[in-house]
Amino acid sequence: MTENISRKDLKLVISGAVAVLIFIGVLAVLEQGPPSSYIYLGSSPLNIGSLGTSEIYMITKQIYPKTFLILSWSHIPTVSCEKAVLIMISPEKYYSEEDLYNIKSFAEKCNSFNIFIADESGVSNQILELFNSSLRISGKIILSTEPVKGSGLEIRNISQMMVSSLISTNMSLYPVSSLLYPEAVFNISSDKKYVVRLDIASSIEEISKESSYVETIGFVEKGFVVNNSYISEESYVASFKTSGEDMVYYLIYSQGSERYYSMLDLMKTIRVGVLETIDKINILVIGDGSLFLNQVLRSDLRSNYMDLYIDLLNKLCDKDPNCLVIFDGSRYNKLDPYEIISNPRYISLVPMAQIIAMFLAKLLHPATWMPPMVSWIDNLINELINMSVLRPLIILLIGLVSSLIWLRREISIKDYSFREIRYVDILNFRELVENIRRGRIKFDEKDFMTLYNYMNEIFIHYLGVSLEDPVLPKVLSDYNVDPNFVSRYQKYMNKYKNKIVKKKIVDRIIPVAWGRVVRKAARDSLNILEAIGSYVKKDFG
Amino acid sequence: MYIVLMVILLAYGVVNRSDQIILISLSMILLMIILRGYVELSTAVLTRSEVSVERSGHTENHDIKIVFKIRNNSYLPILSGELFIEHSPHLNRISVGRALIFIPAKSVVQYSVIFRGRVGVHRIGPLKIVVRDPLGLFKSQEIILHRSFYIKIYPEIQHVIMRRIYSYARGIGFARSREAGEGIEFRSVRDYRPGDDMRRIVWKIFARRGRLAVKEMERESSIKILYIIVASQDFFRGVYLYTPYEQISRIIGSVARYVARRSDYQSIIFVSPSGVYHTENFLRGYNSFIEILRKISSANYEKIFDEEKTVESYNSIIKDLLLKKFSREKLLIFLFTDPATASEQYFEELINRLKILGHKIVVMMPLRSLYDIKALSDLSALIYKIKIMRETEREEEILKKLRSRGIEGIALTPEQMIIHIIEKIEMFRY
Repeated sequence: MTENISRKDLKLVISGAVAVLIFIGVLAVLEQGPPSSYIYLGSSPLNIGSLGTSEIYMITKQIYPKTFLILSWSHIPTVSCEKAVLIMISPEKYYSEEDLYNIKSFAEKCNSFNIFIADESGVSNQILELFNSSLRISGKIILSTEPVKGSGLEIRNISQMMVSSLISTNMSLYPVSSLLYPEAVFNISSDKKYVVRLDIASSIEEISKESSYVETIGFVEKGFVVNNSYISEESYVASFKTSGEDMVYYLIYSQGSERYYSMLDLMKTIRVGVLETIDKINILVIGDGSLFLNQVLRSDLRSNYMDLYIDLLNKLCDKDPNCLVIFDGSRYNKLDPYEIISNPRYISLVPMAQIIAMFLAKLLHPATWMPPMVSWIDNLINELINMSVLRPLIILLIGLVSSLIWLRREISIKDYSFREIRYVDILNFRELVENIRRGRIKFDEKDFMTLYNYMNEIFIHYLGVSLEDPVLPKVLSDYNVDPNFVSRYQKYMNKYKNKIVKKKIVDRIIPVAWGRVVRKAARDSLNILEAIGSYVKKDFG
Repeated sequence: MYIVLMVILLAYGVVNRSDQIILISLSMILLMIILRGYVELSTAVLTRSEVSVERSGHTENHDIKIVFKIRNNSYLPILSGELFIEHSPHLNRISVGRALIFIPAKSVVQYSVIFRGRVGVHRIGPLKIVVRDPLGLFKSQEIILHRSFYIKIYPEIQHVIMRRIYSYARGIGFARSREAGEGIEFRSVRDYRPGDDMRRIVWKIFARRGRLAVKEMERESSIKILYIIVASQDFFRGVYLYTPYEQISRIIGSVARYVARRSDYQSIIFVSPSGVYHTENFLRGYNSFIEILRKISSANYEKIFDEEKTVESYNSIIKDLLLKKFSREKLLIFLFTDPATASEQYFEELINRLKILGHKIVVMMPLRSLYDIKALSDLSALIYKIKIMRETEREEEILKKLRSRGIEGIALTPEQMIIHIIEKIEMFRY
């Protein structure tokens, strides 16, 4: 016998085993410690906000599939390294000695190792030193001359009052913040030239000119280089013409409550992009990491900046699809989701969806909720047990609950006795038979006539006389039937037959109890039938 | 409830630091675990036990005894098992169906159940058992010890009537036709004619008279009889052993025995709601009797009352089978059917067609209104007869209608009709 088993009914593992496995899984996750779900800030490739570099990372990965990210130089993935490019964009934290050693070791494993640095802070100078580069990111800010239009006045010692008075003369005065975005030109090749706008860029200096080949590929035409410390919201650049028609520029800045000024040297070419080759190592240094931020690549100017980046990268990778591109993501600050939520300053820097997702991941992790929950339950039970009034009740409750849980597993079998299979005749006229057995049958005159005709037929068939024949008692006496009984029977039968057939007025008025009549007639008929040896169940054959 | 009470008792003992109560409650819980384990073990033992079946009795109206032998191969005795046999509800069990058994370790117990046999195929089983622990606290689920199986019960041959028939008929053996032909009985000697078998030449006559003469044999008078039973559900209704089906089985069984001894050919087509059963060819001899008994006993009561098949569904079955059975020789066909089926247009057409083809057909029709009478005592039977007279007359009307159309019809009452049928067979022979 086959049984249809639906998928729903098919139970391969019991629920208890599943629960135990889940519990073991939760403990295993718990054993790993709290989750390291951090949100990276700054120019990290893991920062999907406007100040991150996730876009540039994705673009690189599309062009060079062997692109990966390093979050710690202590855990460098084991990869074959024919040609590699290390990319650092505006790193924020300095490298440790161990990190530098690891970077150097990794670079030595590669046949060709190039470096792409886009930085304005000077943190990446550690790398330049590591690879004996002659280049340094000066950390000095490049200011544009473009918005400045002076009147030719020369001011040597300026005070607040003087500035106020000078403004009213023909001298031009601009806040420094409006000069922080100089335009730079990048010449990648003889036929490829990009003009891009920088954002707080640093100039690149060359400290020596030994054993290296240096090529300037990006520069700012006309500008100033000023110390970072002089740049504030209250700094201004004043310009005016000298008597020789030359422009003179002054930087007006505040230190404490005092205001100072210093003359600015106008430089005709400031280097912001340099390619240096040292012992087969190509080092490309860009003085501004902001060129490759998400906010730029998500703007209308995306294509210009992206093409510049791709051309610069291709220069280092030689368009080799197997080129290994390593993004250094280890030098950025990271924050816990709780810290970000608790500090509104950061909220604007990171997309809200990322904050919520990270927060939920942290919240759902067993390390967050399980130890406090276990501790809370433990304390609660201890407190309850220590309460003398509740102790018996608690013990009883625990006992009952555990016994009921145990009992629930037991299959409840109702204690019934087996139902005996009893045979019951399946009759054609069951209802009639049942009614006759219970004596619930009713008779009418038609039933009497049926009996009369039936008996009449029997007498004619077996005895040759009818029920009306006067010789019937005599004939039946041969069968040892009392003639008096037969006479009474014959008279009784014919009397009621005549009541039906002839229907006198009296018969119509006085009703006949046919039930009683038919029963009596049937009993008497049966006696006679038994006497003459005709069986009721045997005829019509 | 027992477990809950014990746990409450244990909790009470723990709270009141009463070692005695703790000991009692733990003992009771331990006892309960032991009893529960015993039931589980017993279930496992019974699931692996060997059960064999023996049967005695094969004919109706006799005891059909089914004996189950349950072998416990383990060292664990089954202290208390409640046995129960399921079976077709159409089979009357005369012994008890339930039994409380004890099966010692490494031993066999025997459980027998007795039925009063009735013709047909009947389901016996499954044999189930439920195990209880000695205190009756735990009970196992129903374990099937033996799966259900089917038994076939054959009709009883009416030996008393058969003896009367043999004295009435011409005796046992080949029926003689009193005509010359192929046979083994000597008839006369005649002159040789070309084509006569050389082996029949009487060489003594040739030596004495100088001319060839051959022995002439008497042709055997073998007739072909076909029983067709078209049984609706009504055939299976009535008092135990006295349903039309059982009566017809008895009649056909007895007639088939007689026909087999007369070396006539016979075949059967039995159409019932549980299926169609028929012999492949016309058979003769003892084999024909056995085959007909097998076919007539094939009705499965449970299937019959599971579904209703109408006459229309029999129509094509009978037509196909009849075409296979038709031969050039004339057939004597006994058609058993109920008045409802016989009054169908299709049946009338079928009977007329058979008559046109030269076959002799006798319709045997059980008057279903008379079959329930066996369930009543004499006075009640008479009252029943009074009440059912109109229905009986209506059924007889159908027979009269058939007769008026030249079709021979016999009303089949619960009494034996074998002699009537034998008469028809012997009359058909000549």
